[in-house]
Amino acid sequence: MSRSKIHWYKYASPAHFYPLANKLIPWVATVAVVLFILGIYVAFFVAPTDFQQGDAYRVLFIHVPAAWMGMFLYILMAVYAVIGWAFNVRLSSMMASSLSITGAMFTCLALVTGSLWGKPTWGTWWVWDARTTSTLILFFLYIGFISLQSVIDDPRRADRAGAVLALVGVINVPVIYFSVQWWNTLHQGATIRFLSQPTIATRMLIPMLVMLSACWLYSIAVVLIRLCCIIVEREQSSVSFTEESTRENGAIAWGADK
Amino acid sequence: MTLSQLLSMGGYAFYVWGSYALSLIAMCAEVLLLRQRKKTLQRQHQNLSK
Repeated sequence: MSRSKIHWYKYASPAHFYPLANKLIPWVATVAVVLFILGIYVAFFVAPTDFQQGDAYRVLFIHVPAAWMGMFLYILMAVYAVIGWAFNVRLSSMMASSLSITGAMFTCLALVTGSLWGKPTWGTWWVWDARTTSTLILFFLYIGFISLQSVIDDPRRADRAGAVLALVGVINVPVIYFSVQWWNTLHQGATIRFLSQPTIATRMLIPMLVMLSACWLYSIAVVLIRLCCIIVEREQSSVSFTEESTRENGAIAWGADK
Repeated sequence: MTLSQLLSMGGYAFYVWGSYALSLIAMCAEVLLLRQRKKTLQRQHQNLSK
């Protein structure tokens, strides 16, 4: 990655964040790529063929991490959005906007790969059962958050509106997580749980966890790059605005950098 | 696992490779769009400082 010409730190409120982020991103991205390659290798060459689902179950090595990321990133997004709203931290709200795109991408992937797994194993591309439906709702929540932010011109108002939506939508995440226990669904139950032994062979568990770590690092890298872009975009528009108003009013612009 | 086994995926090649291909495309698309966004910003910044 070439050295950035933009002085990111000038625009950041925590002034030391940007040099750090710029140094961090290439490393995180590299480790993510290495882990993806390693994860795919283990998923195809080490993990045995499932005796019920055959090789079709190998879709799950990307499906499950994608679905988890969709949920994790939503919770993170809601936390950042609410912090940004409650304590008036702009950077936090920008982080929420940055997270929303990657979260939506992973949720979309979870739905599509789930569909590609469902066709050979369930015999259908889509069923309206509790888990698939609540995951679809999660996707719509992301889309709602993104479109709400893009239709409101004033970024701070957009942040507040988004935070309300994100906060209300958080209720959907435990619904997704527990849906396989609460309702009698077609979707199989969790094989990896917090408090009990996973009901999955170790050779199948390891690729799942490697892929999950790869997805995490990928998300961190992408979200940080986007966060840098969002900050510059927003600060730039406010800079040009103050320049304009200075010219028009001949007044000293408030809050200008210098 | 032999190469032909790997490619055929026990008859599920379309579903298995399809989902990995789509995931790869989605992630690459996100990275490329982001790279474009950053380049646009850098260009604007250079124009501003001229």
